[in-house]
Amino acid sequence: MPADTKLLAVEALSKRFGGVIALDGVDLAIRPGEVHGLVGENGAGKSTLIKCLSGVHRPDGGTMRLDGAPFGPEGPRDAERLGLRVIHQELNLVPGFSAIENIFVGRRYPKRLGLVDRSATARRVRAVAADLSPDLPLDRPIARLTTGQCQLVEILRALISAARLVIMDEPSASLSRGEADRLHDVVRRLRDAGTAVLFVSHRLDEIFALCDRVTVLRNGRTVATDATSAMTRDDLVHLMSGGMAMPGRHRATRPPGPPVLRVDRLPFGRRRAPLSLTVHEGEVVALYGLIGAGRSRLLRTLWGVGEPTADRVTIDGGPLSKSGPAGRIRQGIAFAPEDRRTQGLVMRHSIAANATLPRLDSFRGRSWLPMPSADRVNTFIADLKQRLDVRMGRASDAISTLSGGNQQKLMVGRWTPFPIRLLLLDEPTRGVDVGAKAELHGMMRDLADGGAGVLMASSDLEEVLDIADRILVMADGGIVAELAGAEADGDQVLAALFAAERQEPESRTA
Amino acid sequence: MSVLNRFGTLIALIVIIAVFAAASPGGFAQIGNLVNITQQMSLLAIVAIGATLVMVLGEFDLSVSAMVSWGGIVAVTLFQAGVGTVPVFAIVLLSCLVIGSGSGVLVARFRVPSFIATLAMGTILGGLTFWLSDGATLFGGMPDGFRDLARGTALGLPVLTWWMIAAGLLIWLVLDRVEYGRRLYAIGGNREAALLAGVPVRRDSVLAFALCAAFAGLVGLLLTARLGSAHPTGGGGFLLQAYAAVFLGMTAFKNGEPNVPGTLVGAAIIAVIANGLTILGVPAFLQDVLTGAIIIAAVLLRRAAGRKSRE
Repeated sequence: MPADTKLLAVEALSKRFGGVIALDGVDLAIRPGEVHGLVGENGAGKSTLIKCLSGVHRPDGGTMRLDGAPFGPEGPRDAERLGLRVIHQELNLVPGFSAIENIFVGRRYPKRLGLVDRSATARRVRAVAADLSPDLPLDRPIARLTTGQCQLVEILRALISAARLVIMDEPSASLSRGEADRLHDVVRRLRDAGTAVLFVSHRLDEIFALCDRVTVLRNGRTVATDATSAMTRDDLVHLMSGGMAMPGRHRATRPPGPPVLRVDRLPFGRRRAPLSLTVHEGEVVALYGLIGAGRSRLLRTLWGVGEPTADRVTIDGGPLSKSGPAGRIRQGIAFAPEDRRTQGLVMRHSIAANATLPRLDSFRGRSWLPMPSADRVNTFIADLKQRLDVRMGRASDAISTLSGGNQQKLMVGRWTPFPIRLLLLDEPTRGVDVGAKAELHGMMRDLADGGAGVLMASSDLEEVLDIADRILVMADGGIVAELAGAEADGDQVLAALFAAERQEPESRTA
Repeated sequence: MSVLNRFGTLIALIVIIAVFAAASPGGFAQIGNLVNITQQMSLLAIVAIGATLVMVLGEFDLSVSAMVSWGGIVAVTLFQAGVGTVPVFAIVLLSCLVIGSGSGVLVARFRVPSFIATLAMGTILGGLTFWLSDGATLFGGMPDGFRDLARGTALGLPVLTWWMIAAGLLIWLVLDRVEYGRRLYAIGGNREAALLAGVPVRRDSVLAFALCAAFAGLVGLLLTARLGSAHPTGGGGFLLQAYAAVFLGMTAFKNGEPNVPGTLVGAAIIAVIANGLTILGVPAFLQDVLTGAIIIAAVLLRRAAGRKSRE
C-alpha cells in the first residue's frame, strides 16, 4: 500500500460556537491501517474535531474526505454506517444492563423465530471480548463494574461490528496498567487487521509506544504531524504549549498579604493522600491539571459539598464553618461552579432570581422580615448590569435569553457586590468569548487587588499563564508541582504534569 | 398566542363558566350558586395549595388523602375523650407536621423518590387511621364552636370560602414574596444550582412536606366540622383532584411552574364542572369521564401553546 494513500483527509476544518472559535484550520490525514495519535492541551480542539468527524457537529468550513470521497456524516449513526466508530471519553452506558445488553443498545439483536436470541447475542460478544479482555464479567450489571471495566465495555461496543476507523478519546484515562496494556494489544491487532485508529491521549508514553504518527493541535489548529520515531517527548510538549509565556498583564500589582485560605494535610482523593495549599490575600492561584485530577472535587470540598474537611482547612486563621455552602457564604467565601447550566444557574428562572439567589437575605426591606424588597433587587441588578457590562433586557427575563458570556459574568459577578475573602472558581471562562473572558479576568484581579484570595481551577493553559500568580499542578488527587506564575511558561507546566503522570501509573488502578 | 399561553387556564375557566351559564341561566348562573361553588371548591383548594408547595420542589406528596382522613379521625377520637377544640387543632396539625417531616426527610435526606416515600407513608397512615377508628364512621362529641368553623357565613361569604382565601393568600405570599418561597422555586428549578448557591436544600424541602401535610390535616379538621363526623377513608377523593388542580394551575400565569393563583383556578375549574354538570342532571359517572377529559384537553392545549412559543 503506497504511503500517501489516505483513509481520512481533513483539511482546513473550522468550527465556531457563537463567539468562540473551537477549530481554526485543522488538518489531519490518517492512512489505512495506522495508529495515529492526537494530542493537544485541554481546549486545543480535540473533542470538537472528534465531534465533527462523528457527525455530532457540522463544521463551518474546510473539507473532510473518506477514501477520497466527500465525507459529511449527518449524525453519529450515519458516521457509524460509513465505518467510523467513536469511543467517547464519557461513558454512555445503561447502568442496569449487563455488558452484553449495553453492547446491543441501538443495534439489531440476533433473532430466532422473531425473538431475541440471547445465546447467539452472548456468543458474538464473547468472541470479541475473548481477545480484548477475557476476564471482563459480561453478565453483571454495569453499575457493579469499575470505571475501567466500563471503559472496556465501551470499547467492545465499538468493535462488535467491523470498522474502518476507530476513534478512541482518552480510552486509557481510567484504566489500570494491566487493562491499558491489553487495550494496546487490541489497538495493535486492529492495525494489523487493516483498521486505522485515531488515538487521543494525554499519556505521552502511550503515544510513543503505540502510535505510528502523531498530530498536535493547539488553539484549534494543527501545528504538526510527524512520525513518532522522528520526535522526542520534549518536542511534543513544546509543540503542545507553543512555548507559551504570557506578558502577565493581569498579574498582581502588590505583594501577597497574609494567608486567607490554608489547607493543611487534608486527606484527599482516592488515595487519601495529604494535600496542602495556601492562598494569600491579593493572590490568584490556579489549579491546573487533566480532567479527573481532582480539581473540581477539591473546590467542592472547600465549598462544603464534597469530602469532609476534618478541621484541616482554615479561613483567615479560623476554622471553616461546618454548615455547608450557607456557612461558607457567611464567612465571605464565594463559589462559581464548573457548568453554569447544570450547576450554576436555574436556566428558566429570571435574571433577577438567579442574581439574588446566593445572597437572598441581603435584599430585605426590613431586616426582620424575610421578604426581598423589589426596589433593592432592582437597584442591585441595575448596578450589576452596569458594573459587569451585561447585555440584557429586563431583569424579569429568563437568564437563558442571555449569551453564555453574559450568563457567566452574572454567575461570578453576583457575588462581587458583597465583601469577599476567598473566591473559588471552577473553569471560570469555559465556553465564553474573548471579550467576556477578559472581563472575567479583570473581575478576578480586581477582587484580588481588593484584598481577597482567588483560587481558580482551569484547564486552559493560556488562561493559567495569563492570570495566575502561582500555579499548582494537580494529578490524581494531589498537588505535584508549584510554579510561580510570572516565571512559568507552558513547557514547564506541561512537563510537570506529564512527569507526574509518568511517575504514578500504579495509582490509577481503578 | 402568548395571551393564550399565559392565561390559557383562566380563559378555559371563563369559557366553561360561560357555557354552563348559557345552558342553565336559571340554575347555574345564579349568584347564590356561584357563591356556593366557592364553598364546594374550598377544601379541595386547600389540599391543592399544600400540594403546590411540594410540587414547586418538583416532588409529589401522595399521602394527602390519607392525611385528611387521619386528621378527621384523630379529631373525633380526641373530642370523644373530652379534649377541647384548641388542643385538638394543635394536636392534629402537629401530628401532620411530624408525619410530613418524616416524608420530607426520606425524600430530601435519603433521596427516596417522593412518589414512593409518600405512597408508603400514606399507606401506613391509612392503616393507623383504620385501626384508630375500627373502620367505622365516628361522630358525636364535637362542641358547636368546632362545627361553626366550617358552616354558616361571615361577611356574606361561606366560612369555608374564607378559609380557602386565607390559605391561598398565605401561601401565595410565601411562594411569591418570601425568601423561603424563592428558595423552593430555585430548588425545583435546579437542585444542584440551589445547593451550590447556599440554599439549605434539605431543611427547606422537609419544611415543604411538613406544610403540605399540615394543610391536608387542616382539611381533615374542617371536613369533620362540616359533616359532624369522620370516616377513615373520608379524604379519599382529594388526592387526584388536588393534583389535577395543581397541574391545571401550572399552565396558568407562571412559565409552567406550580403557583397558588393557578392552583385556585384549577380547583375552580374542577368545582365548576362538577357543579354545572350536576345542575344539568348529568349522571355522576359521566361527570368523572368529562372531568378527566377536560383536564387532558387543558394540558394538551398548553403543550401545543408552549411549543409554538418556543419556535
